[in-house]
Amino acid sequence: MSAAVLTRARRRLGRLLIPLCGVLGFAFLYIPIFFLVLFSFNDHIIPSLPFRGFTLQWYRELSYDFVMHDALYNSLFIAFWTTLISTTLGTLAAFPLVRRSYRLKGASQLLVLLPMIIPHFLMGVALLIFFSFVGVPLSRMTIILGHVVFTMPFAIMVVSTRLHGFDRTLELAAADLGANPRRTFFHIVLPIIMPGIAGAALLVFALSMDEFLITYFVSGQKGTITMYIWSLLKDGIAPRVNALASVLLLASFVLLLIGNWLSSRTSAVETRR
Amino acid sequence: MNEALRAIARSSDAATDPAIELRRARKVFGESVALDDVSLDIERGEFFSLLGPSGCGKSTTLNLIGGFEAPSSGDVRIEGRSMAATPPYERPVNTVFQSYALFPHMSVAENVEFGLRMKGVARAERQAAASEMLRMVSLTGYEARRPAQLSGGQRQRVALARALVNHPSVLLLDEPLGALDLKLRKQMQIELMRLQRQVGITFVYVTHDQEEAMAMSDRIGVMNRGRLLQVGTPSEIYDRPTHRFVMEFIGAANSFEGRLDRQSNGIGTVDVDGIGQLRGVTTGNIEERTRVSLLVRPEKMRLVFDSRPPGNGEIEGAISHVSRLGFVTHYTVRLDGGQDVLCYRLAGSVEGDAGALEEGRRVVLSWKEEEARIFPADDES
Repeated sequence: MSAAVLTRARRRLGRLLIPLCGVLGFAFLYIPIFFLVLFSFNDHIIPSLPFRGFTLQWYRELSYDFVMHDALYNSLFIAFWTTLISTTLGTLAAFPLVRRSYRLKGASQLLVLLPMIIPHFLMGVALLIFFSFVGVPLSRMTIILGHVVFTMPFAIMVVSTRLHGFDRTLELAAADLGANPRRTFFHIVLPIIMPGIAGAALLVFALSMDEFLITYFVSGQKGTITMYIWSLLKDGIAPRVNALASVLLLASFVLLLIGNWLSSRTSAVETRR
Repeated sequence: MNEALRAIARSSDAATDPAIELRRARKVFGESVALDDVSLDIERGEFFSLLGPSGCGKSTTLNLIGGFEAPSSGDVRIEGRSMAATPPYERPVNTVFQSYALFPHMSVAENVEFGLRMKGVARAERQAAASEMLRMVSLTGYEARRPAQLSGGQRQRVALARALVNHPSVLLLDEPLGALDLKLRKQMQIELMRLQRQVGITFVYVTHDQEEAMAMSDRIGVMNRGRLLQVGTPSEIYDRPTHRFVMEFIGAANSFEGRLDRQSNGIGTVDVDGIGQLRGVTTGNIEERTRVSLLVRPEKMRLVFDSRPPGNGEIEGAISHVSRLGFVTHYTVRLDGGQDVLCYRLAGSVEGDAGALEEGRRVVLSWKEEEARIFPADDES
């Protein structure tokens, strides 16, 4: 076989192999989720093959499940406050971390991002020990504090990226046109970095909603939705969990679309700058 | 009596203060001196250019006037008022930035209105002012666009409108045409001059392009290495440069190195190494017998095809290169000592045998003594 024939064969193989790998990759990612959603409609108490028939029974059960409603409310409550606190503090922290030069700046940048890679298990234990040491009773507030600790680095990182690309001549121009520092911030800086802040908020919200380990350690009487799912699973797999997971999945998907739409809208303005 | 009255009138009338006064302004960044003892008056209504190579301190000067940097020592006054304690957002100046610095999240109209909005001007009034200004820069109909949807030249004009709509005492322009292509630059130069005449606002224009400065300015300040070397009208700067740097930065110049033999009535005679005695105008105080450079502009050189030996103040050589650029021809003449001399002549204006312009032909070069200038040889500025 000549070299030319060999390369042609190899090229044809590549043409088939690369899309195949892609398909397999996506299958690996999405088949479990597909079955999760599929069995939420399966008319049988055990969510497994074969598919016995279509039903909305599990969704109906969800709507009567007041424990679940409570847990969902708690999760939303916690995620809301976590998002507010974490995004605000993260934005404030990003400014000096990006703009100021000071001693040990590199070290502080590292330290601020470190909580991202600390295992949640360790962090949960550490927070629990800390809270009992200072005598803070466990409650939704301790969960919020725990969530702020692990989400803030993400918020800082997202806002910092936006701030890095910020053209500071715009601030000079605003000052030149009579805007004092406060007005420059609210009229120029804040609107331009807003997509970054919104992105940080979405990320923090999502992280907080599905956090389990830290929550498990520092929660008091009131559990979150992840803890509720965990408690359901202890009695075997229930199709209600599938239904709940499908609803949450849909909500995340909508959130993702909104985030995408926001960022594409602003970047369209920017790339043409 | 009359004189005294006029003095009183002058002191009570603020309008006689220059638009900008720099008083021994100095700016130091760490070890390096960006601006070294610069004093300068810029008159009201003037189109003033600061010209120099990059890093000469012209942008620093602009930043001191705009208030983006504070002088290390010395003072900046705008219309007679010291600006030492005045932040940029309270100064009666506006700036057109090199990168335009248009606000990307605002429309063209919102950009132009921004300054008036910060001053608390009512919406209807500032909309009227903005649309009037946009009309002046021929951008009517672009109010709703974002800066990202404009071409370079259009952004430039929005930046101008955004600054001028505030009717500043002084408009600062930091290489505003630097990002435009040549044709657009020429067009914008004319437009800028027209605008300046129209609004009557003092323009301080920073550029490294000597042609641009010559074409547009009432007066030019030439800077190098943090120092302001010469201030004058374009023709003063071109014809009577006070420093060797000025002469070489603006236009071209041939230089001859030698020793000053003698001087009288402002005319010096230089013993040029390997050539003989040449004469020119001395600048400043130069000691006799010190090393000097004698500079002559290429278009001031007379080129004669002649077989006679060179006379007093004339030099001899052979044409080594000819390039015809339409109405003007550049001759490079290799002197017998090996030095190359440039000579520009209008086509057909060479005296003597017109049929023999080719390379290798021997020629005699000469100039009027008042058209050559003598500078100290150690004049590194």
